[in-house]
Amino acid sequence: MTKSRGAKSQGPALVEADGVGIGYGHPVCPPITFAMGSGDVVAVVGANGAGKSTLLRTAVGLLPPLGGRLAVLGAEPDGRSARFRAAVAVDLGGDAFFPALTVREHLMLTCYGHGVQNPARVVADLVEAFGLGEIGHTLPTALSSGQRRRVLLAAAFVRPRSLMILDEPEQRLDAGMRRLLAERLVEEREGGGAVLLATHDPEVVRAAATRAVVLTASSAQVVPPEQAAAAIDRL
Amino acid sequence: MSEPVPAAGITADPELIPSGAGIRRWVRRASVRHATARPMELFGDVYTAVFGFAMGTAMIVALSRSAGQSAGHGRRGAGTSTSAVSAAKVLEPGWVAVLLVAAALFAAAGLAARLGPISVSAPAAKWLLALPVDRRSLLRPAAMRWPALATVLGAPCGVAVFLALGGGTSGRQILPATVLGAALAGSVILVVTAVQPHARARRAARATGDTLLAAVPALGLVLGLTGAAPLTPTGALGPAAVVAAVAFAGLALLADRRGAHVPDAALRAGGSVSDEARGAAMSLDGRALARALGEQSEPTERRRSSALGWLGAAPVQLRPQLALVTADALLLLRTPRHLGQLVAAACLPVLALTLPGPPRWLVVVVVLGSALLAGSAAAEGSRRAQFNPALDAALPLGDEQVRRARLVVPVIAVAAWTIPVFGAVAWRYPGGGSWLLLGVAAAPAWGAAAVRGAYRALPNYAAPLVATPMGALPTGAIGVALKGPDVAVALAVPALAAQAGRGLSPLLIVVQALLGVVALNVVARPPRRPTDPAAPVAGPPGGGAVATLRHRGRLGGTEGS
Repeated sequence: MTKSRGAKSQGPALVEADGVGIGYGHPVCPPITFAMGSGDVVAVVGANGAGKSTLLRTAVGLLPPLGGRLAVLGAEPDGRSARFRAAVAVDLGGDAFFPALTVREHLMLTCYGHGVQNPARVVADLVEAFGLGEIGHTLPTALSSGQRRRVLLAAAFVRPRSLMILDEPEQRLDAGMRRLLAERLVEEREGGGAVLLATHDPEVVRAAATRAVVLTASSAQVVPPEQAAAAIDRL
Repeated sequence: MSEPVPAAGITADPELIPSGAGIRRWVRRASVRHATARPMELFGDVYTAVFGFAMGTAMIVALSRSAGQSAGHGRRGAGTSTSAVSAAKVLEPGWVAVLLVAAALFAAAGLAARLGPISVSAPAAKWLLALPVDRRSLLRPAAMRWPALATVLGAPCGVAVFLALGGGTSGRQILPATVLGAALAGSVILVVTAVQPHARARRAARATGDTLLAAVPALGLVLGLTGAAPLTPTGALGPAAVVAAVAFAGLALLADRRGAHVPDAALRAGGSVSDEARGAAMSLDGRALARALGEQSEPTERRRSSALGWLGAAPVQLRPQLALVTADALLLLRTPRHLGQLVAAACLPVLALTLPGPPRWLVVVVVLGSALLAGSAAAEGSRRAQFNPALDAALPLGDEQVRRARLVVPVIAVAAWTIPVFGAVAWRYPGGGSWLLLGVAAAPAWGAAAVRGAYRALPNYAAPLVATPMGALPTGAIGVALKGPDVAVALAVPALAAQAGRGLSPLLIVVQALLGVVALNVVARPPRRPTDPAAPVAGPPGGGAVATLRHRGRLGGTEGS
């Protein structure tokens, strides 16, 4: 098994994985080694069941690593701490909405809760960017799955973050919204943010990723984005 | 409309299409061939159901007869008491029986509207609804299930009310009451059935049932405080029973005809809610039951969204906590059934206190149950967060900070609830304003109990199931269900003891207040991280290393406190 690291990222590492084993009691793939910092977009790719979501859940502290060392923001991942929640925007694909709040109220609440300045303008920009204007006063439970996905993505972008952890954010999005997502990830990267995402979309990988981790049953390799996109095309 | 073109090689004869009843018989015969239950097991289930119904009916009838006789004695002895409380207005036992039966009927109507009443299981929806069979005969058993159940249960309820109102026990007197009770109950459910094809009418039926249910305690309060004269059975009972029976028959025909027009989507939705509710009830999971029954009843759009401007005016350091409190408060204020639940929770203890000479233990039980009901109404946000932990992770707060913020709305709601309730206690028993202080001091304990109950873990479905007369339950289901009530009892002992007649003193109020603080701190503490000190040490990575099970966090969802 060969491992390679990509170009060095800027600043201290936000995520450091050193021979990390992941799984639910039994490893689902070989140990993973990579590091990422500000300005990095690392795409985790692989077939269904390869361990992409498992890696992300381990990175947010929902699962314990089965071995090795994993540090997020310089410490063991603890998704329950205020420091982690303030710095890391997490979207693992589940539908999670405050009952009785409309789409706009969700975004406003998130802004206020994270101390965002000028929340009205920030929310208005994102509502327009993600095409939520017509459904702004609707409760998310009444929306289609694609619309709910857009709301959740908007909520990840409406708040301050050092790191984003996204699990297949392109799911249930139409082609136009996928392009927007890729553009947003590029902006995030160029603005000094960092994104760790699991994805099946080769265009997102080509457009936004700085490198990728390709997971299979027998290997966990860090490769350039073009190689990862080709691997997705072959799946 | 043109005839469908048959696929190549397949022809169909419309004459061979069975009736709905025929296809149901076919499915039933096929299912019986593969059934594993033995006849004796079926006999046992039927026997248990019939025996339980007979025992329940006998108990209710005996209680009602006793209540009716004691009401008669009370009326004969009226005016001789010198006690200020007993001279005050009280609620007659006859009214209690009427209100209880009315509440059961309205609750049944609301429940029937949520579950259908006509619904089909997922397999039936997929395989049978698509067949070109007569829809009316296909759905007839589903259409008559709820009305039949209501009719059977309405009969003993009619008898119970008749006896509680002081009616006689001869067959000629009881028969009209039986028929009236059965026909009324069945008719109410048949009305809900008949309107099911029209979505707006169905929503109105559900809302009407809920509103009337919430109004029952308030009505009882009015009857008790005004000392309304009790109803007495009259000779009009017979004609009323006849009219009710005729109405029942007419509504049954109407419901049978209308049943064929219920849209497929509504049939499937009702079936799915029924399945989810049944699973939740069998697992003693009240939260899942409330989710299943409440999910479809909330409005899905608002005219405008709140700008939440008050959060902008709050100190920055407190905004995350206030944002969470805001979410919980808006949920309570925007959910009419929860507000109705709060009102009902306030009325019930007051109602109990207007009964003539209520036993102290009954007052304690009703106050405790109502406190849990009030707290539960305000803890929906916590229940949703337990179901979906990402809600608690959405703001920059640690778990303990989140729990403390989640306590605010339930504690405030319960504190508001204590005002009328303990005001009524002060009216009934000596102690004056000290009762109000005691109530407010107990509010944190009961509010904390609601949040504890909301965050409790699910039962362990991976462990062996425990066989009970109610069916198989997951291991520890009872223990899980008691989380919440345990704090409500243990940390509110002073308040409960005072109501049980142990006396009221300033020291008791102080102790209760301290226990309230304890409750808040206990419930605010998030679960400890699991550790495994026996886990083997990991070998070198990448080279066939032994997997290490050194737990550093939770596995999956939230664990209960």
